[in-house]
Amino acid sequence: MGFFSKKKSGNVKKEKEMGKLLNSRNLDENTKRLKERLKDCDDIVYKEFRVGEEQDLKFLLVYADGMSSRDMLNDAVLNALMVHAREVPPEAKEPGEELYRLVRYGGLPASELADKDNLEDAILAILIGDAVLFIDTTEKCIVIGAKGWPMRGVSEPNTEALIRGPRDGFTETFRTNTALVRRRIRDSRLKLKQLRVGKRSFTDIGIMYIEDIASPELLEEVFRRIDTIDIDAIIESGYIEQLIEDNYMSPFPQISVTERPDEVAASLYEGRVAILVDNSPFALIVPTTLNSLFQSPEDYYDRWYVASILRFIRYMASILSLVLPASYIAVTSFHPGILPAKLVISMAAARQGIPFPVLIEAFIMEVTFELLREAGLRLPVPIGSAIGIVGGIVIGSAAVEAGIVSPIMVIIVAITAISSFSIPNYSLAVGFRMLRFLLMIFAGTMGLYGIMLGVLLILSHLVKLKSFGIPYMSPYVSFVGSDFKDTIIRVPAFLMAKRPVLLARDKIRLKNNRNLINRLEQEGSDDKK
Amino acid sequence: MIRNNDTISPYQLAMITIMTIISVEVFSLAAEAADELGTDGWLVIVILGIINIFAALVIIRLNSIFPGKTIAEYSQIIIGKIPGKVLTGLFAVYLIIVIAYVTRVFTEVVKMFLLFRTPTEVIMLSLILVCTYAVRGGIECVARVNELIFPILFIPFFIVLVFGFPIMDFSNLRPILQTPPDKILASIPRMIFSFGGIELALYYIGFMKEPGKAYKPLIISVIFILLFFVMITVFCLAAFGAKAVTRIIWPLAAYIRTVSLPGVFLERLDGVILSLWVLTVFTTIVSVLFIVSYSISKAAGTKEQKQFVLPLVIVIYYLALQPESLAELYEWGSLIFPYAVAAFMYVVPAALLLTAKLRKMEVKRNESN
Amino acid sequence: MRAIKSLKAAAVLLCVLLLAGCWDKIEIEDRLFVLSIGVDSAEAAEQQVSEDKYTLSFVSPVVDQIKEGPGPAFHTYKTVDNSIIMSLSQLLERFSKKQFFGHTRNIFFGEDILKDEKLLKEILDGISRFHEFHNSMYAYFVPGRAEEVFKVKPMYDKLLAPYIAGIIENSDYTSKIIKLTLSEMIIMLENQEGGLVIPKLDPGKEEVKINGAGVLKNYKLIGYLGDQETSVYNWLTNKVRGGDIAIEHNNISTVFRHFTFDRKIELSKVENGNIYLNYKMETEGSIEEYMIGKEILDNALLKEISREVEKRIENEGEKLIKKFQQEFKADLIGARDYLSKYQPKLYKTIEKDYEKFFTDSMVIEVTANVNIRRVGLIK
Repeated sequence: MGFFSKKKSGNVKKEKEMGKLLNSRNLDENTKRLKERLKDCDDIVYKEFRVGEEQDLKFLLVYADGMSSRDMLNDAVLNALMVHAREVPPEAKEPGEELYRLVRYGGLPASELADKDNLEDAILAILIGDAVLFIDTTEKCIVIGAKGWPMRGVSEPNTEALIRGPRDGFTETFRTNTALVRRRIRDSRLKLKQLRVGKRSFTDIGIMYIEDIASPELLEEVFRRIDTIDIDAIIESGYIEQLIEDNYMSPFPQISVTERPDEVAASLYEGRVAILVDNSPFALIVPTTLNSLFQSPEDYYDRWYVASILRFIRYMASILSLVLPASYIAVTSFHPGILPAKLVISMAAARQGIPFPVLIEAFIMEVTFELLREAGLRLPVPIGSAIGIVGGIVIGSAAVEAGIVSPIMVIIVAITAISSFSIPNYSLAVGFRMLRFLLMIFAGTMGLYGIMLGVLLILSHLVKLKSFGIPYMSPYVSFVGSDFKDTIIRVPAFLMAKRPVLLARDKIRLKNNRNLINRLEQEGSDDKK
Repeated sequence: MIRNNDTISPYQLAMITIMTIISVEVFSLAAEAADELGTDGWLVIVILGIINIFAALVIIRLNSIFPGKTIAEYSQIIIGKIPGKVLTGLFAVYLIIVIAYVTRVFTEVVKMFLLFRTPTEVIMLSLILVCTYAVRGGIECVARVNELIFPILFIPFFIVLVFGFPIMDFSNLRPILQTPPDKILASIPRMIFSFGGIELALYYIGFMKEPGKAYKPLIISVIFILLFFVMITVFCLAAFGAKAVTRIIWPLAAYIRTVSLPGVFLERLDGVILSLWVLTVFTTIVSVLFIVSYSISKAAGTKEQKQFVLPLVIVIYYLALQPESLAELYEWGSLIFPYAVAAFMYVVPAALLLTAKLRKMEVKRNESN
Repeated sequence: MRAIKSLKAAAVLLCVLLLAGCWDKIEIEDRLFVLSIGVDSAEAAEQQVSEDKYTLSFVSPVVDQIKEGPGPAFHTYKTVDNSIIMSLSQLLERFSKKQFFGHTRNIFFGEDILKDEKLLKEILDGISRFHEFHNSMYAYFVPGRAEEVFKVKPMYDKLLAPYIAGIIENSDYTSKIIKLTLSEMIIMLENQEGGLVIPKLDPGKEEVKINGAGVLKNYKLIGYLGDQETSVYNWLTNKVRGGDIAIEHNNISTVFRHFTFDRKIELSKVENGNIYLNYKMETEGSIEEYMIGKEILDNALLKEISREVEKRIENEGEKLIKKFQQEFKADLIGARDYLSKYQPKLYKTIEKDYEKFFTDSMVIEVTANVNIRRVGLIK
């Protein structure tokens, strides 16, 4: 009982400093405490074993079944201590510190070992998936890295599939994800800061950046914002996204989300910062501009005119998906003079007998489409996509035959829907969907004038928006010539020499090698002569 | 790199100037110009443009003496606190009248071409409220919005203008240079308002980091506007002839009506172009409204200008509803504006510059260097 | 700041509430598209009240009969009232759909309107002020009553208005048709002090024919041009592109078809208070008809033929100019336009009494230069 009192007096100070209760030196006491805290957690395994020739040294291995790799523990701990320890002749050892050091620094052939000395840390380690080894006669315990839970293999993310590009995607395991990124940036200046966020979930968060490219103010801001998060659980990266974004009321996302490691790596090279969250295959990239939401990694793997054409189509499609129904409403109800006579007459013919005004008709069709889209998501995959397409066609034709909507409306809604699918970023597409309805209302009130006012409202909003200090509309505002090389068009690769000006510090990333290539050609032909 | 500053770049200054000056008077420009001078109407514009280049130079020089300060601040330094505040107050009143005028004229145009029966109040109020949203965003929002809208407006507009070539008969511009010079000079006051907006640089240059960099953008803006106006006048004259063009109230709109894009199935483009025109009126109102609320906030000594915008809206709305008809509106305009614009664009900057020089305020500039 | 945010929200809500009264919204199927308008002065028999001055006729398509359908593709109707705007309001009393004039292609003026100066001026003012009309409407003069045009049932076209507009657009290929848009009409009347040459349209039963023209002076119809004369008028006013000129060469009828036709006016001299102008015509084209057995692909022969064509142009041109000078006493051939633009100082001296000057003291000659480039497929 002597050491009890020792503990009380000597370690009360420590206890007050750390605010945590230290372990006891008695293994049974520790076991008792553990089992009390982890009462009714039936997946925690308590392995008591004895070591040594005399079998007098008591050890306790605790781990969570399913979270730790049993094989690894068997090998690194149980085998090592129970079997091999017997082969070594016992040395005179004092229990306590000596024993601990013996085991810790020579007895366990495991690569990740850490020291802990209080219950909270030990329990956290167990719940994370590591195993904890308690040794009788010492309050210190060893945390053995033994994480091994069932995980999904690395596969292509199906929401971001490309024709050309790598096919690996993030999984739900934090370490796998960080590894996938590090494979692409083999630079010692790629930094990864790990934090734990969530009072009950203790979710691992990793902030990755390239030290001499990313701006220090940006980093400071990111860390500051994450510090302010005070929540009990982070279940998905979306929680973090919503808690640190600049403007929660805006329909436009200010943080990019991706499942692709190559996209993360490319963003890091541009000077952005990535946030990886455990249990989520979706990484966050900050800061984000409207322009970057329209970019897809494929744009950089293909040649420049392919990329430029596709970008251009994407922009046109998104504008179309925003204003097409509204323009149709405005032109037919307010300003039919804009259309040529033949078109107007055939439109009027198509609308004979339709009971609703164009605005209501448009709303009906759009809402129907949205419902179909949502329904398609909930159903199992083969049925879901079929319902989406077939449902649209069938319901559309049925509505036309019933005389509820005009065929032109169906076409317009279909074109709008297809255009909205071409927007690479999902939240942006959803934002556009909302805005489309807003513009339709404006169009229904004041025609083209109303649409213009609506567009101006959206523009003013976009222009005010900032993402971690970077204006959302760069590079279209704060006109900097070199940034324009990667917006609606993408210039040939050898010309993309600079990083985005507002983000990055180390400006030059590429040196023009065009004349070298041509010269080699020339020399080649000279040789032939 | 992370900008949360309150400065504008030279390019933004150019954009603001151009978008602010081009608002509603472009529609009636050709008719006004041809009214007195017939086919030489465009000449007045050229002369006026050149005069305005000098005015711009004066303004930039004045601002360079006080980098980082707008006229609201340095007028108090030059001529004393009270006179300075009075001057700023008068300036603000003048600008409020300008906004009310522009809003009202544009509403009339919209009523004529786009929305015939929608009440004037609704059209005006919706426009002003949208402008309010942008002005509350501060100088950055104002500058960026101007930047963005410039290409969105001008590219389609130029395309449409150019497609009017088939209906133009450039011989309608003859005979050239037949009007006596005194008649030309006499018609300058009427046209002054078209270039109104340069005096806003008295404020906006104060938001630049280095006023010395304002020369290029401001001069280029004036030249751009000059060429643009001349082009429009010439096109309208060519399309209609000097006599007929004076009978049309808004020749530019009539011109756009006659343009038909080949191959494109849209016919009457005036509706489309007028909708695009909302953008430029928006930028004009936003740029000016920001200045007014800014000067009020300076006078009241507050840090933010956002809260003054909404009360101003009420004043402007009430004012814009005053004239009973289009005729009365134009009458007002021709009474007030030639003097007001000339005063604030020519007289005030020149007087202030002279006073500053006399009071040896050059010293400040050398010190800040 | 919450207050201001809620104010903004209130403003937006207001806009939404205003949806209930969106004033300008007219559904497209509730519109009746008027494709042509005819203007006549009201006959005594039609007048209900003595103020009724105009009979306006309208034609609108019946929308669902256009693609297929047994019924007629269009209907015509008319109003009698004392002003154009009042007529339009009268239509509201009779139709459930609202008329829309944004696509009106043609406007027909009956002879009686063109002969009445005051009525014409009134109606032109109403037309140019009305915001819905497109100023590229084509204007025509109909001998007799304009409402006769609306009784025509075209052979091959479903709709009347595009049929007529299509004919007018053939003016690119023939010189006998004058294409006159409403804006040109008003501008010309303005610049030429009420003088105008307006194409003539003759309505038949199943077709219309556009050739010839009416001549207005001081807003009043004073004469006519035959179809050949219309051709010459088009030459003199530089409005022609394609067309045919028939001549006799060595007793053989031959036709010269031209593709371009340029007219330049030059001042030859000023002598004895008279102005001598020269209308230079420059044209090129091909020979379309000759006679089997003769070959015309021969330089000398072609030069002869072109000389004949030139003589024809010059003779016809000078004949028509004299008609304008002596019979109509109105300068509708562009001389004033030329003088005011290119000889302003000279023009100033004669500006006041221009008409008299034009009639008495102007000598205009026509010189033509014809180039025959091609002769068709055979020699």
